Amino acid sequence: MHTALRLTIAALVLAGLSWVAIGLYGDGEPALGAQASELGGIGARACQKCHSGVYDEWAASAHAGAFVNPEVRKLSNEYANEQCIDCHAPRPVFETGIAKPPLPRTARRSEGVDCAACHAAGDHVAASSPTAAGACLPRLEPALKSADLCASCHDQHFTIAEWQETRFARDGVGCIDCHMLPSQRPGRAGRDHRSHSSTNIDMLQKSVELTVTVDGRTLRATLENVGAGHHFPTDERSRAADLLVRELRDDGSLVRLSRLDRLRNPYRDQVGAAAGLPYREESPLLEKRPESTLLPHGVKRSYSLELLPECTQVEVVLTYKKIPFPTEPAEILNDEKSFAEKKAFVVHRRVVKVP
Amino acid sequence: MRFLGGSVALVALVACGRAPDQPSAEAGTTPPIEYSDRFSALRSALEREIVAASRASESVSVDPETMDLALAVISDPRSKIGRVARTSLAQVPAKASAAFCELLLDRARPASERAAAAMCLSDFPPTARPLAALGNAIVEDREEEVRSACAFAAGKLGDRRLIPSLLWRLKDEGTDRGAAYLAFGLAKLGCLGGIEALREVVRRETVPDAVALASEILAREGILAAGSEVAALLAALDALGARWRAEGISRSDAGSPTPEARLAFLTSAELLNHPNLRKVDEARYVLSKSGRAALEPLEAALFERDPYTRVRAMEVLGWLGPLAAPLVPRLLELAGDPKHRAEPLRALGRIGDERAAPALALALQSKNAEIRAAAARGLASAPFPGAIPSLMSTVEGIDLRAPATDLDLALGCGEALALVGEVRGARLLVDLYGRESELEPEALDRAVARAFAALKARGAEEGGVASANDAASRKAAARAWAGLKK
Repeated sequence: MHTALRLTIAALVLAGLSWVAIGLYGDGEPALGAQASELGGIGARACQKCHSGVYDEWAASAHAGAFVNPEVRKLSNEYANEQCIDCHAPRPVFETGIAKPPLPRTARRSEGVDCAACHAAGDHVAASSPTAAGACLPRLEPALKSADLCASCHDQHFTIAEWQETRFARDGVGCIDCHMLPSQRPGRAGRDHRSHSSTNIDMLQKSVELTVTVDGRTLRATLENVGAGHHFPTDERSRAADLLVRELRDDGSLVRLSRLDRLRNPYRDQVGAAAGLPYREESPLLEKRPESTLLPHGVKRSYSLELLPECTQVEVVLTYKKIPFPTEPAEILNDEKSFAEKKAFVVHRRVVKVP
Repeated sequence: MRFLGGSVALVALVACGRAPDQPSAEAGTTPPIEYSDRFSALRSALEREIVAASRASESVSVDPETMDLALAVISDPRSKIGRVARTSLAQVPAKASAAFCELLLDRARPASERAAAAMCLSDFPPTARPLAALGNAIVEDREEEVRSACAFAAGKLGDRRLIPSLLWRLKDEGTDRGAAYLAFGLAKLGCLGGIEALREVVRRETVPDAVALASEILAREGILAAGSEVAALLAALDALGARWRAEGISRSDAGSPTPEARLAFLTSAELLNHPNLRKVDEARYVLSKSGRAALEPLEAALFERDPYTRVRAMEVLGWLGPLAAPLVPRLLELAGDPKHRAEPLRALGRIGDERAAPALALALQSKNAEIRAAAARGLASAPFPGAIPSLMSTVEGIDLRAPATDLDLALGCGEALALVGEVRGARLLVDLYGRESELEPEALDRAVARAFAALKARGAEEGGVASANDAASRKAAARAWAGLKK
């Protein structure tokens, strides 16, 4: 009896190993994924039938708008830069390779980063719970919660590499621990698929600390990345933050507007006005060669400015923009339309009287 | 009994385990494709060829003491003697100073000296040209002045190994003047990417040098425009571009690429599976602008063991368009592999070769939406008369009132039919206006514009839609046309 049992167990173990090996490598070569699987071709609306709460969250997220976002379309030259499609309408990452660059989808591009992009895993749906069950054949996939899954897209502009240098990575705090908090939706438990990021003012405010003091006629300010598990802002090219100073008279009229710093990682070889680009790089930290001025996690940067004699109060503003333009400080502060459209946020505002 | 049960489980599990990678029924009975490390084999063969050739020719040899001295001179920017020595040495077209120029280009601190070194390199005899230093400086030097000098030198040297470096830099060049010289270098080497870029710089009229550079290219080709008027130059550049495009992007008199040039293109192709998309994108750009010279490394990439390399190679072949026609049979072979069925279909569509029509038509019936969309998009990339029956039957099965209708399929099929002159396709596109919000932004307008332009070109009645200037007027005209047709 014992022998038969052992043989059976051995056979099952062997079979299991064969299954894993063949499933992963098919005919002996690394598989790009079972692209012919039906799951990868299923649209978000099919998932909505059972997961309406999650669908609603996702529909409000930047992931859902990844392809149709007008700014993305503008920056990608209406996707004439075809490489942008790879991440803005990706095929399922489980199928194309965890932590590998994604491949572009042809169908339903308007759905952007859809459900299948993260959950379709060949012949089953990747789930984060071992007890998940349902018509879509969910199966626990630990990689679903890993930073590697996000890396496929988000490390293209080095966000995951930045995270790996922080205490968050060392402490095991991953992307979803900040960007996909447990959802408060009624019914089905799980993570918040709105995937809050820089579109959320609370997250932005917790990311950086701004201190302002006036010492005689000298303004001193510090900016420290205290909460973002990556640079502030992260991402190359698109995101930018400006630290602006408005020197004001008693009646509130403007004496001078200055920019203390621009935090940005210019894309490729953009060199501002010299390149005839529609924006200008004026940071004193930038010379001809584009350099990143993003603020790494845990780094504090100090600034000072000699105030003009007429100035009786000073206002220091940290603005955050999802796109690099408009960049003229006056334009940012006065352009109510751009704020209304949420192209730019005021993250912190400090007003200090000048003695 | 239990042992028997275990054996049954074993068989069942092994059978299940094959499922993810097994070719589906729709993939047909294509025999398994053999993938291997073809890059390595091609690289080894080329390297052997290059080594044998270099042994046969005279090589540059400089005694170590001279080079140490040269290095010392370069590393002391304060010395006036050093500056004189550098300038003098760089202007002597001898083997020793060729090696010195290479050092200078790599390490001199003043940009003017690096630029001078680059210009000198173009005067050296063929055996003494340190192309690696030139190529590196084209891609990496921080100063536009140096990059421009290197690009100019590359054009004068006439060595096609420098095409990838020039293209690589051109993609990201931020200055107009730099772009003009890069374009000049490429055009001198017979690369169409150079003509396209030079045309753009001349058109903007912001770089006076560009006119002279364009005139030189045109004079060499024997089609110098009368005078130097911008309009005449642009027309002549267009004519030259069309000629080169017909010849396969590269000049026909350039002959087949040297082993070194082939190795350079191979090196670009090897980056197709880089983990960062920027590198992948740069490699794709270089290869897609290299014309027929890129086909050899891309064919190797198509059968490389790594599936990413294969898929990226397919993308580039699609971008090459009709120039990639020699590889259509290979792509058709790959279309049978379930690991990547959509990518070959997209590429085949863009190449526009009629031999692909049956495979594309068959894929319209796939159970997988991604494959159907890729096939429809592929058929809409170029006219495929051979696919008309399949397209017609697919369109007959589309019910736009049903919420779950495959709109990507409808869009692609409609455009594909209109491209071959079938009015039914244009009518389907007009019907799709009712669900425009569910489609990719502006995709329907683009499809309508192309479809009605095709109808007009074929002499079909198109209600003035092809002449509409914007999306709104196109939509109105198309709806009016559909009303008339009904």
